[in-house]
Amino acid sequence: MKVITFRQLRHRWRLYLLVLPAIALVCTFSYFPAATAVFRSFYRWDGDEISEYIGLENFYRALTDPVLGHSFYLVMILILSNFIKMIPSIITAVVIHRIASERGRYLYRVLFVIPMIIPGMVALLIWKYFYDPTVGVLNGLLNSTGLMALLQHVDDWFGWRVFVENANPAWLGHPKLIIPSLIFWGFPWVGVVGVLLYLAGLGNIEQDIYDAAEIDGCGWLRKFWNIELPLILTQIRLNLILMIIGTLQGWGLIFILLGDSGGPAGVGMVPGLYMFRKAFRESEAGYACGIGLLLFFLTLALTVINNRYVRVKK
Amino acid sequence: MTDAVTGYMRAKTRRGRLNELTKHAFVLAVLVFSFYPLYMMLNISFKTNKQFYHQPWWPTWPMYPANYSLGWETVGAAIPNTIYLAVMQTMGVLAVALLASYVFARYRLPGHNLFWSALMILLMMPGVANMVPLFTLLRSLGLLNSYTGLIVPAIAGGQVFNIFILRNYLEDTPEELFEAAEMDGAGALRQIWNIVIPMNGSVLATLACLSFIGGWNDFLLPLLIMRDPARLPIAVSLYRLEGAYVREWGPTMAAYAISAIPMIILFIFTMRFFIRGVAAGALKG
Amino acid sequence: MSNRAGGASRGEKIRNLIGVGILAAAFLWSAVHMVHLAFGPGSAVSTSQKRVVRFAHWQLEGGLVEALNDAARLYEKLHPDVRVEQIPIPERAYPQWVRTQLIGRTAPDLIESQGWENLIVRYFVPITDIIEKPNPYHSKEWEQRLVALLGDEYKSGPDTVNLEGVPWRDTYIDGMQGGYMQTLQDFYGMPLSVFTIRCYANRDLLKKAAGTTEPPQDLETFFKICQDIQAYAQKNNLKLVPIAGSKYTESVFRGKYWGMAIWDLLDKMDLNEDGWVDSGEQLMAFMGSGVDMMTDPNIRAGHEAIFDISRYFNPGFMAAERDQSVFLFAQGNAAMIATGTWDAGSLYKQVGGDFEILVFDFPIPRPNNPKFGPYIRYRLTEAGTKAGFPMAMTKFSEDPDLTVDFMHFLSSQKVNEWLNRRFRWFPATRGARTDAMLQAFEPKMEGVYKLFDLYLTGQTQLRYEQMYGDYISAAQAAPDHYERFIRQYWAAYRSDVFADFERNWANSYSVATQTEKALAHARTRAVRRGLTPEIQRNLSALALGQVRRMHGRAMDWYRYQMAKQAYENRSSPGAGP
Repeated sequence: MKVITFRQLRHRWRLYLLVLPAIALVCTFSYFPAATAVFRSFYRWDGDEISEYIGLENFYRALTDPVLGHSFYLVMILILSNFIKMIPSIITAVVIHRIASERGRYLYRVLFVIPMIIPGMVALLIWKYFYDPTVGVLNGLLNSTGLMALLQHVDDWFGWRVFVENANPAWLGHPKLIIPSLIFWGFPWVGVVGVLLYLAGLGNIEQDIYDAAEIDGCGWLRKFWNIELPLILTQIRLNLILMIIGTLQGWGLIFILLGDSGGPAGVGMVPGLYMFRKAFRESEAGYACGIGLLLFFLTLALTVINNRYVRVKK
Repeated sequence: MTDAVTGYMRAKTRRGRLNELTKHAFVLAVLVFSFYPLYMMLNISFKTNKQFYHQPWWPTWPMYPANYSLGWETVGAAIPNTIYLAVMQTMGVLAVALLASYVFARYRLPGHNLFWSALMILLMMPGVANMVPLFTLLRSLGLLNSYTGLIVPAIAGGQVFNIFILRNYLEDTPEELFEAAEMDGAGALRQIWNIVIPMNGSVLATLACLSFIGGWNDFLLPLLIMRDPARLPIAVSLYRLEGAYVREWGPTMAAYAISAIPMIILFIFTMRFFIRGVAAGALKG
Repeated sequence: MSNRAGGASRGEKIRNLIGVGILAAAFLWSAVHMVHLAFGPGSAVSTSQKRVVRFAHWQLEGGLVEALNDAARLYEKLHPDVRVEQIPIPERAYPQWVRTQLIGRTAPDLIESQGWENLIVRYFVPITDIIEKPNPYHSKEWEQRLVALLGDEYKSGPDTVNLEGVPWRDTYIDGMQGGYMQTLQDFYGMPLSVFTIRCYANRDLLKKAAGTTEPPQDLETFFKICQDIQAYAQKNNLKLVPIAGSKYTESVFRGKYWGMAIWDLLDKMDLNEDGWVDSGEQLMAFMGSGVDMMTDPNIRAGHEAIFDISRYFNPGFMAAERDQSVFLFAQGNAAMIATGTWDAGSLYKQVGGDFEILVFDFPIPRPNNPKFGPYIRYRLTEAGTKAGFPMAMTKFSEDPDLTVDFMHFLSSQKVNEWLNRRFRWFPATRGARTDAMLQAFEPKMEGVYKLFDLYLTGQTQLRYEQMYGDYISAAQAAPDHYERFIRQYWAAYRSDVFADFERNWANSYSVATQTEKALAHARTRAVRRGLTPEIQRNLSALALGQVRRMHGRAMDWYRYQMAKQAYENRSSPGAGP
């Protein structure tokens, strides 16, 4: 790579032309709004013309806002559950990888891509249909397999009052059920891109290592732990950090499933959704920007921690 | 190759065969669950409401392909809109990113570190808070309710990811090739055209696919800034469809299926690139 | 290794070629479509000679969008130089969409209003002067043309009312109260229909299970019918409940019976005798010594009436959604349901021809009913309660005259009648004929109105809804079920209500500032165009409204202080309970 110093710039200015479109676009449409958001977080702003400087008040309010607190609590739960949901992808990738026939592996790889093709919105809406209390698949399954009766007994014992006689539980409509529904969403939690990535990483393992392991008498668990896992650890780490950032900021899923109030009693509220609601529904854009700034710092902190402490030895 | 033979031989032993069977069974089970939403969507799309209420699980006869024409009426207009948006976005993103990553891969300009850390920071900003200022920005530029207002921010948004990946790849290209081209008098653009693109075809194809998928699924900005119903992209159309009060399940599911078809077609042809590209990308990761 | 060096196989090459070919073809198609959109018929450019009016709403109920489309085409036929565009948005996304459109200044000319005060004052046009003028579509020539278009059954007859020359405002059944915004003291919305809330019953089921085809006239009969249905269901082992319940249905019943029950508290609580109980007065009543929340019999009746009714809902109704209860009713698993006429169209569509639907108003108890008689005595009025489809005009409308004319069109007697027949809603214009079914929806003007809610916006509302939810969805009820609930709520109310009041009072200041802005605009208008009668009227209405509002706020604050003082006196040791 050639290093260009300031002095050489005069002759190489054309290079800057090449970079200009990218920089100009990013500055205008990514940086400028972000900077404005930071600027506005010190104001009481309605998104349009009304604007009044209030200093740190937005931040005080955010720190003492119970709804925001609950939303962070929910996000933490979601991060944890998403972390656990990463596991089936890994397992599936390993299993596919271990399948002997190459044709089989290729076939499965192809088959796995197909569900990914469904546009995200469609997948979401289909899941919403699954959760529908009256005609949805989930309730239908529970009823026809008798699991619903079992749940009703358990409910009686615990006193949840969620699974009552003759009532189809509203998975997206009952405050107690929302969090389980959000966690369960996406069963079987095998993310296709993840599987393909891991598979590719696993594909590099030389057969000799396996042979050596066989000779040493390793069971399949040891094989996984010592051979396969370390090699895909970089991918896992990358996925992990992307997942954390995504879950912290994400709200589209919940918006489509539950609406902008986060469902009944606001149980499903996440910070992103809260910001959206504040900015676009209640005309409190300044407050939303303030929350955004706090969220950004949190993400930054988590990323730094991840980089520093979750290191992978090659 | 010895591994195939060994593997094959290992599979032949009794314990080996049982092992293989369990593995296949596991993968098939996962596949069944993954495909189930797809199956339900297709299944219901051929039913009338009455059929649906009585028997939602298995296909019922007679089937009603007429649902598809109803579904087409509701979302059909959105498909060319979305194609246009996705293609323009993809072309724009890749063109701009290619130029920039060429420079970043070959040269180290002053201000380099600043630029990179700035890009990384961008990744971490929550998008929602930027929505309102972006909105007012688009308003001042007069880009509201227009496709340009959707395409240009998308191009800007896609830069970070694409430049990052492309730069990694371009760094691999041997410097000698570029120098040879330069000696032949090729300018930067010519170099990109003759060297970069042919050598990195599969990465570009992969990124193009990803970008296209992103454009296809784009939901939030169109929801907020598009006013005319005839110009909505498909994700917003589907969202609006779902909000209707009297639900005709058959046509709704047919509409979902219709909106998935272009993607399926795309994938039949780019599958190879995509799988290969993802595989290669993993190594870089 | 990054990619395969060397050429791809021939098969792959062909595959790639086909792929690129398809992509190119698809893109070409979409480009053509774009051009078509931009320049083809019906587009902005081709009809750029035409004047455009756009309207947006969130009523996606069955048949409505089509009916409005037809109305739009009719209008275009009458005015060939006009193009009308309808923009339906789902209810979920509606508030955000409207807000972004308003901020972005791309909003349509007419927007169905949901009563957002802050937005209305900033972005919408008050129509007070417009409504004093008559609706041109009521003139004789227009009537002829309309009848020619709509059909002969719309010809005027002895049973219709002649509205020629009548100010637009008075052509409405409720005097356009539905478009009036109390807090802004101005008219903003032009309604199209009048909504009322009714009970619906499955006639066949009623006959089979309760042996009657008459809707219940009073609460006792209503309960008897419900019990008969329950017995019938049990005897024949059917999955049948008397009333299709959902969270929404419960709120419908609560809206009615609560309002009816607390009317008697008017004397005790309305201190300035203006007919309303505002939050300051509520504070004085409960926190002072006006009304004891825990023992008051009207409050008790208001809760227990709904509780008793809810015993006949399907179990777990609080978790059910509105369309679930409609589904239950349509499938014949519930004999009755209650909802507003906005649902009627969808309801009838879903039922299809399966059974006949009876419509009736909510029954009130007989005077000799020991539990409820003395407390629930009057029906609620339906004057101006809910305007159907109040369309408000935005300030950015490019062609305000056209917009108003379109509204005139939609609310003219003939067209309104025609529209509402298609909607299955009740027309807002006087003299519009209704068919037999719609007559049951006619709003009853006499009656009382809901004075207050047992909470203020904020924490008390949240606690009330939570505790009330527990109260109403209890499967078994101990004898002191209500006492426990009200005691619990009173404790929460006591601790949170002052904070809620303070917050709401501070927020209401922003409405006042908005009105200041409107006032400033009005004054500018006056300076520029001079003090014409309309401008003067608008200015004085705004100013008067502002004065009233400020005065109201001051009185509210005063009462709040008094209530606080009274409460402290009460709870300090040595004072009475």
